[in-house]
Amino acid sequence: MKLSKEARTIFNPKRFEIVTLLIVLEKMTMKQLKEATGLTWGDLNSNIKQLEKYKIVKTKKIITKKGPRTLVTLTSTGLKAYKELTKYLEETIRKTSASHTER
Amino acid sequence: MNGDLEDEREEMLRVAKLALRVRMFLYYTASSYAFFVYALSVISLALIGAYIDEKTGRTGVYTSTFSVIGLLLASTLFIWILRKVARAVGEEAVQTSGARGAIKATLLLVVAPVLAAFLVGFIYPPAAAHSWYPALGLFLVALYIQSGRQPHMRPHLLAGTIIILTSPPALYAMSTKLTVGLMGLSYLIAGAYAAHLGLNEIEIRSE
Repeated sequence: MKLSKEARTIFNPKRFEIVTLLIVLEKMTMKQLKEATGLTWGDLNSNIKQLEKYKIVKTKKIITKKGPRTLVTLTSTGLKAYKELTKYLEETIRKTSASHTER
Repeated sequence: MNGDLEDEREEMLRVAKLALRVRMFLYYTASSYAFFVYALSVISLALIGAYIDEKTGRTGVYTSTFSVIGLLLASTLFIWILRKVARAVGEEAVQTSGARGAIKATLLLVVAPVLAAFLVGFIYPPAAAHSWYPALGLFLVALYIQSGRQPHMRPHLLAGTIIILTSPPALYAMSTKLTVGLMGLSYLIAGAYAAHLGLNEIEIRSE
């Protein structure tokens, strides 16, 4: 099974953590993501940019009571890629355990 | 080293599966709410209409009018809720519940009653005023078919089937109270079924 470039982008521990949070909560502000992942602003920014490049997430500036925020939302492409990655992981693990049994 | 990589992948898979299940749980919970909201809005307005009828001595005019208003309000709310939450289940659902899907669904909701009213009025003219009932059933089944028979749309199929099956006696009785009551009952069953499907998603199971 070959992974699409979108799924490959998520296949990274930090980006996987970000997308997993968005899978459950759909949208989060950058501040919320920073607090939840423990990443630095720079690290979070570069990973979000990478995800945005492949249309896995989209960002939007919003005005909240606490001031302006950047809202990060999961796209349908992102959800599709996440599901694809899940299938890939399942298949890889199954193949690995099958080869272990053969040995 | 390879063992570490395998462990990491297994952990990723566990987390991903859990996240997708929580997402589905949230979808089903919202879907369940949508059914209850729909039923409550129609029933409450129909009851207010029935009260006004009783006080003014009119025979079912306000009940029917308020039921239709409730039906339209609830349909808008229902589509809005589904549009908001259906992204949880992916691309297929977006086709049904995205902006284009919502227009399609609205068209179905508009076209279906007209066709049903025409047919019911043609076959059994006295029951034409209650033709919205089988039309609603048809709409719900159409929504299920349009989604590509997705498992997450089964509550809609269930509600639609109950409504279609109970349509002949409801039309024969020609009672708004009965049709509204049966609609509420079918939505209650569908809402409970959606809640049950949601709970199944987060139930701890061995895989």
